[in-house]
Amino acid sequence: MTYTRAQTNARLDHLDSAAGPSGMVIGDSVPVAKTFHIWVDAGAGYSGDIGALTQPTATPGAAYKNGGFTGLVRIRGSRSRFISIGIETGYQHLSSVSQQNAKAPGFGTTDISATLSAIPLMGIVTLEDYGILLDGGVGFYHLHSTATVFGNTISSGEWDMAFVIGLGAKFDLGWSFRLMPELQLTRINDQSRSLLAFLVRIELPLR
Amino acid sequence: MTKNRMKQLGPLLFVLGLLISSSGCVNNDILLPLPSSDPLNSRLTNSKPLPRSALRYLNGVYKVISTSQRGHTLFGDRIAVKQVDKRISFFCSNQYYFSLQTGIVDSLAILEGFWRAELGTQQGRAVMSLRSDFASHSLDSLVIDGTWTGDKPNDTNRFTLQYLNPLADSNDHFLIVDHHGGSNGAGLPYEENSLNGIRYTQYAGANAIELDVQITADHIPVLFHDANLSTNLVKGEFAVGPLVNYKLSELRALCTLTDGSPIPTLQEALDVIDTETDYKAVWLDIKDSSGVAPTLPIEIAFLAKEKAAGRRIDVWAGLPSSDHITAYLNDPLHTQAPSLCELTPADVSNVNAAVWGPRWTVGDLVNQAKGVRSQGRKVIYWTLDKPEFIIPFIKAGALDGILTDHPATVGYYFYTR
Repeated sequence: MTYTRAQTNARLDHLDSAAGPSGMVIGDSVPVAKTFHIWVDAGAGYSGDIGALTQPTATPGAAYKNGGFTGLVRIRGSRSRFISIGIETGYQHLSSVSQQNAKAPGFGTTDISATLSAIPLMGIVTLEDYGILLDGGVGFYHLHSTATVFGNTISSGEWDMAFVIGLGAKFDLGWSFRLMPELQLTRINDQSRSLLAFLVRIELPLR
Repeated sequence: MTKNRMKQLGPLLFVLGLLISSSGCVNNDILLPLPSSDPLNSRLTNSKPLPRSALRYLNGVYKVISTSQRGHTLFGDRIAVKQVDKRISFFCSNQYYFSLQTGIVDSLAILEGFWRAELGTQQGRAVMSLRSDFASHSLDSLVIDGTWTGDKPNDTNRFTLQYLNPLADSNDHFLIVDHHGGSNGAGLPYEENSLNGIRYTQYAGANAIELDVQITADHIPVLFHDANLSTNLVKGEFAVGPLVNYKLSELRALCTLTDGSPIPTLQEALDVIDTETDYKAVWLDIKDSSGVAPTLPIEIAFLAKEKAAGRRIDVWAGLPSSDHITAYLNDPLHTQAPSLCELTPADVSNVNAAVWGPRWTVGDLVNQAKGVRSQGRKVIYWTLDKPEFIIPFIKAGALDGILTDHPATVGYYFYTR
């Protein structure tokens, strides 16, 4: 059977509106126009530095904590479920220290209270098949330190290039929502940091 | 998986490759410890000191008359021998050097220490000796004999040197300026811009030093190259971002250099240079023009102290940009603070700089250098590291020094020319 251009367009419009999130209509032999879909993945979890970084002035009595809360939001879009592209941002608490009588050569000792956090801004490519998700991304991390030393609080940070890979799984919750536990490894290049994060995401279809 | 899907994997695999390769990267700035000595077996135990004047007598170019084939390969056939402080250094043709402590035991002058590569990680021990009354004999008959050992057991090699001729410059008129304040670009065991690096690098061939100057939040000049506290240079994960955000006391509490020593102040560095080294000159590479004003009073006070003590160590405030020149000329102290200008010869004249510091890649600079030198100023090129670039500049003349990461290499080619 041969379709005119007008007939084809009319049929594609009909199919597009009838297609599910995957853009596929089962049992129809006519070429299918895939709808561009947008999802928001919101997730929370825990991340920590798996490198050997330490606070050099820390003594055994110092309360040093590696890792903390991670909250990430990703917006991604695609015409197919298999591969999607998006951007990711959020907040990662990396470490903190609380220490009394830390040495400051030439200045005696001081109490130290400090936290280190990061805000990622990453471009992410996600592959999805058989309920498994594989992420890869490149972008920037804003590392931010807040430290109180000698009674003065310093707030300082910098942007560094970063790479990320992630491996996750997808579970259908119904009503178009999906639950996605994920393990994510991030390398912050200039700072030579390697972060491992475990988070659980919920996928919300926007379009 | 279909062919199309394999194609779609491309971007992800690319990112994955970047991540893996970046995670596998190691910090190239390895701080390699010096070869350990065994104090119990040291031949210098209970030795008497050799006076500097006697050590200086040993200065010269020597021929290697006996060593293993590997010794010839590593160290070449001619060696520049030079007194540095209370030690003797050997500068070899293939980017190796020796640093040997000295003393007299019975009727022998003992030279004992280590050798190492400026590039790479090869190093070992060396023990040499010569008759203790060498200074009362003719140089022509001077022979230094001993052994060097490699990094394997029983790898002991004969090493005999015979005096050939004087060094091309025994009076240190030519300046070999070490880059980054004791740069570990020369495989040194200390972090760059550290006090230990400053103490050490003279033994590796430098007779002048460049210090990188950054300014803290409380306007104190400190030695640090980068504007930010990168983990390549410091340990301390809560010290992040621009150094200028932190007061000196805060830096001292939150981080150290990667070798564990505190970030030194410029004042501390100049004190070490004054009391513990033989450096003839200091190039202050002020990284930001806002650092000019806090640096000049320290430079002027140091020069006044040296003058009062009857010593001379030249110190120059580096002016690498027009912003630096503006800051320098706007400071009323500038007439008392000699400078080193990196811009054009016209800028050098305008600021009345003591030194012109052109980048060697700019092109044929010999005629311009001759013009600058005719005005009574020095010319020091930066940054020359490889023999194929060092040799033509030395041959062309019209220079007073070279800024380098490999001072032993510059030393060998200059002293043996």
